Amino acid sequence: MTNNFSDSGDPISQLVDAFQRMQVPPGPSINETIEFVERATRDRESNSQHSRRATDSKPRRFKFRNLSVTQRLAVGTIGLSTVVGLTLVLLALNSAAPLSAMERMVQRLREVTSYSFRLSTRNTFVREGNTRPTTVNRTGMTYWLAPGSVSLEEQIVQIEEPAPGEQKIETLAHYSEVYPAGKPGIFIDHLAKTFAWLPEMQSKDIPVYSAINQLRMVREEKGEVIRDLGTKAIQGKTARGYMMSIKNPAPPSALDVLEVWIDPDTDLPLEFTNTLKNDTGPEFFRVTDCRWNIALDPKLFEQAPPPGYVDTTPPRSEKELAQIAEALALYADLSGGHYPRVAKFDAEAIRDEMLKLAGFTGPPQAQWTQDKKFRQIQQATVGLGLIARTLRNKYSVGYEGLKVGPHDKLKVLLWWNAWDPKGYRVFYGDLRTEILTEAEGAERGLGETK
Amino acid sequence: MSDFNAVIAAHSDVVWRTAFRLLGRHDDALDCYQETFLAALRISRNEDIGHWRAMLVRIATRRAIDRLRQRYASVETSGNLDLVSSGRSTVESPDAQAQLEELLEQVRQVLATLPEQQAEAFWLRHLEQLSPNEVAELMGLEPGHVRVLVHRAAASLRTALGPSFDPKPISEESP
Repeated sequence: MTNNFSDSGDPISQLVDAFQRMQVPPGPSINETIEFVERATRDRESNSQHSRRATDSKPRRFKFRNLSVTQRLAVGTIGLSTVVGLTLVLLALNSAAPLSAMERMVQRLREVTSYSFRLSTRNTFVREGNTRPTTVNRTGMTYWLAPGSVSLEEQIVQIEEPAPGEQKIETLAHYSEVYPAGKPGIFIDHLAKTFAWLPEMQSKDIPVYSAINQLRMVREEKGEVIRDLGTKAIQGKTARGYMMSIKNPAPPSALDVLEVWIDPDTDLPLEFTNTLKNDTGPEFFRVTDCRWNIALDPKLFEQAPPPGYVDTTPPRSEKELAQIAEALALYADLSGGHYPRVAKFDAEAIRDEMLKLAGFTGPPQAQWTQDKKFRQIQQATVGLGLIARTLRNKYSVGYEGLKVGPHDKLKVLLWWNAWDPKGYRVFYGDLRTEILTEAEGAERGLGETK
Repeated sequence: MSDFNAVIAAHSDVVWRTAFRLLGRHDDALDCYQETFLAALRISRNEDIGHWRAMLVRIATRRAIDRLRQRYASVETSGNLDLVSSGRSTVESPDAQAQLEELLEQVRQVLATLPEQQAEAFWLRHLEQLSPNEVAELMGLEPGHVRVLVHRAAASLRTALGPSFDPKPISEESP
């Protein structure tokens, strides 16, 4: 009897051997592949032109999906999704017995004028190279006011166990987001003491893996009530709970089971929980302290950034983009062919270096202001400042001056999240600038948090 | 496009083989195959590609692993999978072929649970037989890091495949 696998003595070799001996059927022909690629390219270019035409006349806005993971999670999973999402879930239910209670809740949800809730999530996983678990907790409050204003503040805390009995606790993020209905939003990073203006939040901007999208999927997949959870006391009331099963969750981060606890007096949820399947493991997602149709302080929806916080809203005008390119070009000219080789972009320090490179050393002298090069350097301060300001944003920005020079025509020197069309604003080594699509940016490794 | 057509002509076989081996399902493999060429075309518009085969294999591998992770996202794969307790028969027999298919599917399942870099590095190193330096260059890592990733992936696979996979000399097993 022969062996199924090679006899190399190593199970991995056997495994490799098994794959190599696997029968692979013929794939598409070369002509079929060429035809497909050409057709897809034509379609894409056609769509791109259509998109450009459609957006040319619109002001450029920061797309919600371009935010960092933290930012997207913050709003994407809870901001708009709560009322609408639950409504979608409940409309999709098939089970007969609980439907009457559910239908009443759907109706009540459609009528709410305001609400607040407390969010808490927990994601525990073992980091690569570690043996002990890491836990990431997110907590915060969200407020919603008809017709669609959202305000929230959240913290993300990481807890590691370097050794038995030891705990290392680190606050990864602390931020606020305020989106008055129909107006631009603001993201405030309380750790970095920065803020950025964001576009008006719209339902179409909800990210693909957000709760609202998952719940749309629920509707399509026909989730069903699988268990009556009985009753329990919440906020001094006897709430009734239902567990729903969501079939074939996709994408993988989607929820597959949702528990809802309903107030029998108001037919509105008091609490709901679910589990998201993250790449790192399940993330337990719990919404508690739900309060409906309450009076909310208007100050919750004011957008004044705290005093001293720095504006990191990315440059968007052609003039600003030109100022950035001119500043970098001038530096490269003075330095003999490279950009600031720094990991931390300090505009003032770079301006001082440019002055030295141009021969302006020693105490400042009045006659320098008559020198054309000196004035160019002073003007470059604006572009340098725009770069430094943008790079202060912790999320989805990057500068590669250590590795990319003026001759690297195809390498990305500087990038950040773009507004509209969505994607990434990039400056290449030769200072050409364009917007890459999200897919193109992802292929280049853009989009990673610093 | 004509240059890229030449790339397709030269490397379509290897891309298809990578996609199909990893995914084991025709429809999934076809999607992965097409996505790979479209992604490669986009990249080639902004970068000079020095090593097309390696770049295509890397894209196909990464996208296939993403698909595996989606496919098995709802399947728990903790503990010993005990895959091949009787997997020592001829590949010519239907039973043996079924066992082989089962093994391949279970290995895909394990790969889907590994950290992405581990799974990718393991596949590129062992199945695509790229050198550690080639894998490192493709993944933007140091060769030493790649070796660690491959080692960890192999250790995880050994653990998941369990003692029943522990090979003994065939002479001891065969009648």
